[in-house]
Amino acid sequence: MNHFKRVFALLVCICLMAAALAGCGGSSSTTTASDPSNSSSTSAPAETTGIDYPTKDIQGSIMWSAGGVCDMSARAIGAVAQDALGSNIIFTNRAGSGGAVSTTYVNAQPADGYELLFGAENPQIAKVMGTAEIDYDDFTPIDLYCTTYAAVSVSKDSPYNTLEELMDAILANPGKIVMATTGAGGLPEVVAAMFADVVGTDPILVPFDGENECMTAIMGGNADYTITTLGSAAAFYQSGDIKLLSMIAESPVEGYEDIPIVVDSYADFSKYVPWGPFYGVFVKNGTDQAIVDKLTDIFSAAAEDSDFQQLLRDNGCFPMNVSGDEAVEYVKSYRSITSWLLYNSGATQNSPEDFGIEKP
Amino acid sequence: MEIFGHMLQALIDPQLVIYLAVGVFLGIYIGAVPGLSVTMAASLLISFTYSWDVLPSMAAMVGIYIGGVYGGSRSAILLNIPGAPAAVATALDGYPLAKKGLAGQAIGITVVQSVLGGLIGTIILAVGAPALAKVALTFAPRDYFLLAIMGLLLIGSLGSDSPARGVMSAAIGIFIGFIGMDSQTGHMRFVIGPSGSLFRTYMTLGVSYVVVMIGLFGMSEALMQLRDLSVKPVKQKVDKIVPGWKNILKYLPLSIRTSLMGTFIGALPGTGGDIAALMAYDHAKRTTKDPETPFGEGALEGLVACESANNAAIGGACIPMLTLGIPGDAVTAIMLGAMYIHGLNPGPLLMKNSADVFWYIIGAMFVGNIFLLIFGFTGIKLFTKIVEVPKHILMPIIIILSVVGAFSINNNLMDVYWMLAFGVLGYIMKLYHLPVAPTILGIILVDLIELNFRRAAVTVGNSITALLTDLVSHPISLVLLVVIIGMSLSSAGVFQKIRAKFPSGAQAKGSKA
Amino acid sequence: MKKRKLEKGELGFITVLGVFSLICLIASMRIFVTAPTLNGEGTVPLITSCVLVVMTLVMLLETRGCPRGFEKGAALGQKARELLQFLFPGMVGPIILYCLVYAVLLSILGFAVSTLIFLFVSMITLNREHKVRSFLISAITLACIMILFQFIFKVQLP
Repeated sequence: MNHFKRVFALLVCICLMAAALAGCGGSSSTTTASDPSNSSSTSAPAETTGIDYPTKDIQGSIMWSAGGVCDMSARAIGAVAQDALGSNIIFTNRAGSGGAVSTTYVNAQPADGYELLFGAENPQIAKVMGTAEIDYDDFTPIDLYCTTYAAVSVSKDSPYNTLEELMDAILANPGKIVMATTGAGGLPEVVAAMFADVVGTDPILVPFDGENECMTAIMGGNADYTITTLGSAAAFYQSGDIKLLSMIAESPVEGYEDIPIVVDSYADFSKYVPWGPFYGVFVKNGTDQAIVDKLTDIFSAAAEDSDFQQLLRDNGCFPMNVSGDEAVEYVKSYRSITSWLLYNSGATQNSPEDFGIEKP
Repeated sequence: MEIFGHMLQALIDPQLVIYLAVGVFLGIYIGAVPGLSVTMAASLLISFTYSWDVLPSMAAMVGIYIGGVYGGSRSAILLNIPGAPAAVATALDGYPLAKKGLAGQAIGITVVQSVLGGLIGTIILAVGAPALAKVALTFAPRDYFLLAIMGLLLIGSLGSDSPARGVMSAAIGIFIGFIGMDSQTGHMRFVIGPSGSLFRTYMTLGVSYVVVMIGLFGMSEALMQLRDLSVKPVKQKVDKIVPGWKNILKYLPLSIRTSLMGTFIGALPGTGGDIAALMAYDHAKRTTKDPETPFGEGALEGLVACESANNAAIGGACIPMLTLGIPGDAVTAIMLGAMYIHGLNPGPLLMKNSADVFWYIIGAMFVGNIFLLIFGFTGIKLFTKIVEVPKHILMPIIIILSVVGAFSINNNLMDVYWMLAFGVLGYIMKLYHLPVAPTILGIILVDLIELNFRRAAVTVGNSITALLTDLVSHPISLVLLVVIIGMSLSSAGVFQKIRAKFPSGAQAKGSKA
Repeated sequence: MKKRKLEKGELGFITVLGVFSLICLIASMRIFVTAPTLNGEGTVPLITSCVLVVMTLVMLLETRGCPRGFEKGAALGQKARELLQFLFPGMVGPIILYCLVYAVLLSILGFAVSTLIFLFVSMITLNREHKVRSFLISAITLACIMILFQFIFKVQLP
């Protein structure tokens, strides 16, 4: 009987924990209910569809590491959307290989609408860059909610004060100037390829895990400059830790009018701009159309949420809201433009034609 | 004064105190269940807290974090299944203690040391966050590489009669870590299986080290135990759970040293509590001249070192998060997400623009550690009973818990199959005297070693001579290099030999090493 | 290493490790030649697999002079039997087998049923008495795990 007692103790122990946790779960949900602040913006469009979805928590895979634009925008829109969904979205950062880790992961999950991919533009050049065989052809876009510009930044202690100074230094010291990137297929390498084409610069590209890590690298003096999205650089620019040398844009960027634009420095760059990343939410192809419709309704409503849009603006990003066929068209045309651009500039030897990517 | 006001809020606002306390309590028990991790709990919690105010949600997060990091040690001690990677080192000496019937005492020590480490980490966070963040920023890829090499030297401490076998085991772990998509180029490495199959997709994404850890520790230990069913479970002594002042004072110098180490390693954006605990364990083993019990067989110093270090790493991990908006580990990454949602702008401006949140979090960490001291002593008697459950009942349950733990990482059955395979592999390795702990060490360190080596190499244009010059021409790298050389010499027994030759002059050297 | 009696099949185990190391070496070599620079994706694997090969050799050298696990001149069949005895004595073999069956059943029968069967069968295999009690314990354990994971943490179970 002694054994039995011990086993009993073990089980009681587990049960007690279970009970404690259950009690807490309950209390936290009551707090949610009693808090009036959450019911403001999004509730209208979800009720119409008659499907039984979602019935459990939804998983969200974020394409890049914590702290960057992709992460920030995904978590922010997810917070808005989950109220309308009536189900939690549980986020996991699955960074690596220019976004291929997250696309491969979500693509391996069942197409039941419980695995969302919060991704950036990167998979659309994965094929020509040779980083992955999967791109957004395998996914259905729900909503593209955010865009921003690329920007060249250096540490506040950097000797370079203009884009021209930096580029001249790279040309004068081949194999010396280090640029922090996010690896093959990431935005920094794409823009570096544009610069290689226009200016002929060939810096040393050191791959870090994400754009935030690129920022730390230049601030810590481990890289001379980096080209990231404005979103990742904005906070450090506002705090004075970095200098923004140039915007990869064709006209001055709202809120950052004093930053020079790249076409003023190098007029030839006009063939590449306007160009910028996009951020959106995707599901695997084959997901039930009713679920796709419901998600589309909810996320396009969430993208209009004023708090969400304000958060994006505060962080150097710009709201957009493209969904449905328009979004499919958008990611397709993005792929064809960028893939051909990379191919024509010599950044990759793989012809887009081999992957059936039409000329823009 | 204002600062103290914000910090004091953690103590006087009853609502916040309750959130914090509940967080710590839940964290302990979530961390203690194999298969539920702090990261998982935090990511679940964050979706609850979207609609809360900032401070309550931060209180709950900090609580879960503090409790969970401590809680991981319980299953490490009782079942040899580390609840989290940060508790791997705890299992090395904690489980042998449980086998001797001292699980209660071991848990008691881990509570006190966790609290000590947590408090020291918080103090450093409060006093030196901006300065330390600046130092952490200057850590170059080559320095991370050296740090990882330092971690590898730990193989010498992980107990085996033959160093070659330890190195072999670590190399196997490192190799497992290579499997999958290369995160810098996206190319496949060592991926096998028919194209398009689930098996191949799984390998593409890489083998999760939690799977390896659960298999090699938990599952293989269960199989080992089944070899001899006649051994009766040890009766656990539970009369002396709370360690006395004498005990605490005795280990105080060690816990302060390892807490400082833990805080610093935690503050580096690329490393967290798991590496901090392992390095602290190594440090303890090197500096403890005459442990009462040899390391690996239940040395209390081992527990003291890794538990104080992994809780100190919490304070460390918050340093880059709060001053730069860069997460120090997975949980701080989630906290960062929570701040964005609440409209804060975590990053270099947080300290200026949202000083209340900044100082509240620090205050909450102080108070949270006090709650840990209280709640940490709950349930010990009940938990130690687990070890007394007869094997024919406990072992199948451990296997099931391992299965659930492996599955819950990604909701993927493939993880379960791999875990079982690693369980059998670990079992065979143990039978043939190949230690399994270095394999885990290898798989924990592989990214740190490889990615940073490649970054360091490409930075200097892929030239070996330039890389070596780089290593000796930068102060931080040079210091790390000297420490590494010193450590390898001391493990090779050079100092002992010198001491034997020159008994008088060796004192100074000995204390340095 | 201290000279000790080798375990049964230890040399075989080291040989298997050696083969594994060689395979790793060849595979790393093939990656290395595609990007033969210091930062290439094959460089560190190549170094690691060299370490593997060298360590296998060292391990083999260390076993020199150690008493062998098997008696000299034992028949192959007897060696195999002794090896199995050593690797899977008593209940270890059956339990590993159950684990494999359980892994397969998981995808067919789902978590609840297969876990119940696994727990019950392995408990009565390990201790033939108290069948009813074993069943009860299995059921309670299963219930606890289900409640804790599935309903409170909403962790999906297979």
